[in-house]
Amino acid sequence: MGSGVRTFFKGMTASNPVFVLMLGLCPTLAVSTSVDNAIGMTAAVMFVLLGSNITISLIRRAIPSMVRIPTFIVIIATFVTIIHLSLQAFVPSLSKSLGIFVPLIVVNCIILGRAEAFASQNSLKDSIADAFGIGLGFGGAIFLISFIRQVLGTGEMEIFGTHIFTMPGLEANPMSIFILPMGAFLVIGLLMGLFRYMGVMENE
Amino acid sequence: MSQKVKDAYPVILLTLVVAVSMTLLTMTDSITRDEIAKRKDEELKDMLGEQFTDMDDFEYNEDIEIYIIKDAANSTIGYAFLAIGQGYGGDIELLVGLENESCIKDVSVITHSETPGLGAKITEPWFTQQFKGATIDDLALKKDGGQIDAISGATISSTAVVKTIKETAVKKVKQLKELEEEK
Repeated sequence: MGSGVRTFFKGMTASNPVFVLMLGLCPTLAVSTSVDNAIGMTAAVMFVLLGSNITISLIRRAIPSMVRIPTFIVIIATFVTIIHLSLQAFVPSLSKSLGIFVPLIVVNCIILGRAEAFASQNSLKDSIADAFGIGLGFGGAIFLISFIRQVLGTGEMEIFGTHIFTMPGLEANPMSIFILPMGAFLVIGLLMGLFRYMGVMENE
Repeated sequence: MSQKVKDAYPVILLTLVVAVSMTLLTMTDSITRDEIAKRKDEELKDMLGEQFTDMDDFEYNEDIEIYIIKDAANSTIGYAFLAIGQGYGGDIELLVGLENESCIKDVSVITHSETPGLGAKITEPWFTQQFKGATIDDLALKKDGGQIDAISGATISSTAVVKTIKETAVKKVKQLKELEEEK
């Protein structure tokens, strides 16, 4: 197994950004109120992560350690802004559904975290694999959290307007607390505990 | 390389990175700026068309910031304006259509940051339809003696919408009347 493939799978499990690295929890908690949001956020994060990992890995030997953090931040913010403006101008429907989640990526520590911990020290090929792995790891995690919160909090599952199923009894009296911030903490905490108990997603 | 140049390298590098970033962003802005403005206009036009099915064209009065809706015969069939108010999670921006100076034609939510599953329900047709044909002066939630059903579990969002529409409508109608008296 090449280092690229190994890096890719690690990003999804042993280095899962939400459950193991615990990075970018703030936007994760805030955004995971519905599956639509989760999908949108994952797409946007994946794009920025790829762009930033590639750029930083390419120029990593030229960046002096002293100014690496500001350099990373400028690069990341530039990518996010370009995506944000481009979506608004050329794909307005997607921009509308992603909404504020796109500019929120600037404050998502996953991007900066991977730039510092990986892309600045690894080859281009491995950095790309890391971006995909971490991005999918993030996507899986936030999808799981949103799924639970949406089903318990609204009593039904609806994705992009298509009704999937309804929980009998819950739809009339959903546990709204799961859509509120407290519910976010509950779900993520319990999931983390569950994974630890099961022995999966542990730091090597 | 002299010591001074070596010391200056981080500064040079960072300045370079920022310069490249600024160039890219300026380029992106010049490409997208007009498109984004066009999108906003299109969206507004679509929303007005949805509210006023007989609309053929509209005029924008810049002084009082009101859209005057005209039909194919160029007679005025209504008015519309943007209303912004503070909701639960941030500003709520609405497009309010008026049938005449005392009645609301329709309401559309343009942007909001309300909680999905709760306050976000202000965009649902069952909620916005309640405003169709409502009189401005009597506009209120049922709990405040009016006709509008609030969203259960989202009192703040519901109140914000009603308050924003009513306050802005009262102001705009007043401005409209003043404009007509001047003529």
